[in-house]
Amino acid sequence: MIKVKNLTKKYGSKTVLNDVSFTINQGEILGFLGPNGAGKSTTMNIMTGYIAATSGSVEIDGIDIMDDAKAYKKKIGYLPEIPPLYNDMTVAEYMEFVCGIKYADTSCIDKILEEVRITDVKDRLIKNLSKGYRQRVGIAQALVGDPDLLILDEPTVGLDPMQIIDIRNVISELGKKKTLFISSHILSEISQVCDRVIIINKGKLVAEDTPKNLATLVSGKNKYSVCIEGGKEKIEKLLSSIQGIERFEEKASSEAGSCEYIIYAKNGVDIRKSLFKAVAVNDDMAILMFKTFDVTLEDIFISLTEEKGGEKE
Amino acid sequence: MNAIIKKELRVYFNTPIAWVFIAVLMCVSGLFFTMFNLFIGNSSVRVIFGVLPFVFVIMIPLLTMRLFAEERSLKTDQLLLTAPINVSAIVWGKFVAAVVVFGIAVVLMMIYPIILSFYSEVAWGSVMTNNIGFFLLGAALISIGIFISSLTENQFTAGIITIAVLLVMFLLSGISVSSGYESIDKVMSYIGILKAFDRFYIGIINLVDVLYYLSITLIFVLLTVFRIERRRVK
Repeated sequence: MIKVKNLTKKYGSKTVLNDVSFTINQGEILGFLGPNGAGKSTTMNIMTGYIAATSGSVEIDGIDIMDDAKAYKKKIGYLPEIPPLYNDMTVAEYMEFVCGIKYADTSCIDKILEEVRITDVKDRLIKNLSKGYRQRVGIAQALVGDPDLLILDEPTVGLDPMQIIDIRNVISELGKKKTLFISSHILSEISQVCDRVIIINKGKLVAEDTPKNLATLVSGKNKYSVCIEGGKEKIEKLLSSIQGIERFEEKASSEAGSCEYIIYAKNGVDIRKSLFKAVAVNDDMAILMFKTFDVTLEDIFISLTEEKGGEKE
Repeated sequence: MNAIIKKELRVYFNTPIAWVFIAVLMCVSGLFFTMFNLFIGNSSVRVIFGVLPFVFVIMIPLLTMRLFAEERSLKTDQLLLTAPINVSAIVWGKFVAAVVVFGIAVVLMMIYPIILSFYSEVAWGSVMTNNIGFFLLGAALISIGIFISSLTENQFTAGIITIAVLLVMFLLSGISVSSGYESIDKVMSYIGILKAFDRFYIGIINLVDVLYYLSITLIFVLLTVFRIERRRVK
């Protein structure tokens, strides 16, 4: 539904976005990851018409922003990184104003306030609201005019953990009805709510896939953490004798009389059974702890941004 | 555009801005009225009306300085510029709101000729031409202030620059520059924004003067629209 084609943005000689292209499909929740300064907000600002691209185009349902800005903007609700709130207005006054500039009927206000759960602060001045509430007013504002696509720029930044859970709930509720495009540098968050993720670094897209596929992309090696009771020498000898283990590193053990290791298994080999059996035949050894390392988006992110970033410099 | 006008008027009257603007104008004019009409027993409002343009030059920046600078510093321009409303509707909306506040002050000042009319004959024709002149002059000054507000993120910078610019325009009205070059003298006389007002002041409505103020207003409003559109591309 949204097609971003070859977006480039230059400020003087500095290239902030370099040939960025992607699509957002109807109904999906697309995550947009990148470190600070990678170009996330710039991309979003261009997509929403706040700033113009140096070159490239954005279209939504076939409408290019350059051809019909009004029809285009009606299809998008935008929550910028800093919610655009007027402190001297009450929530109700503010929503009324937003309806006015978005040519929407004010009858939708109550429903939206209900949806983001801020009906109780309706008559309070925005400047007196907590950060979590302000963020929700920001989301409420984006929902005015019933846009198909919601673009949320770092919706949970600066909130406390309870507020983050709150906003996340609101977002996943919205995701059932709308197409969402969410940016973040908190990776666990994106992997929780998003169907698909694109990763940007230094103005360039470095990856685009589902969180799961991205995980397999980087998880060349299986990593385990084990704690084994017994003598160090004997354990290490045993570990070296197991076929599937490529290498292992010793870690400081938290329990006396035991050793902890990080074990790297060979590609595609499941060492869990053979390790268990090998330890079990030794009476003076026992496995106290054994867990797998899941590849998190953090790992993917770091390896991707470091690799590609390193290449460039 | 209505939403913008309504919002700006709400801000003007929910904050002290409009009240201070109107109060200062009424205080200054009231002072002159007491001194030059009531004490002396003079029925002409010319003295008050003559001093008001200078007060406008000082006070109108108060109305206009925050209009765009504040939106930018609070990042609320992101809401305005990503909404399906035209930039020109935003600019005109803010312009109209400022003119309304200004207009309220001008209308309130009608109280002086009304008081005088109880005691003597008032030259209503001249009062009317002055009022028309006030509106035209005010609109022009407001459009200049709005344009300057769109140039910066800091509303106080905008306010100070606006006062400086309007003061120069005010001072150039009082002198006639003779630089030896006719074209320069002519430009200087155009910049002297009160020259045209002098004729309203003595009771003459001249089409050229009306067009002068209307064109200044239009030019600066359009420059503001252009400036905001342009900033998107920069």
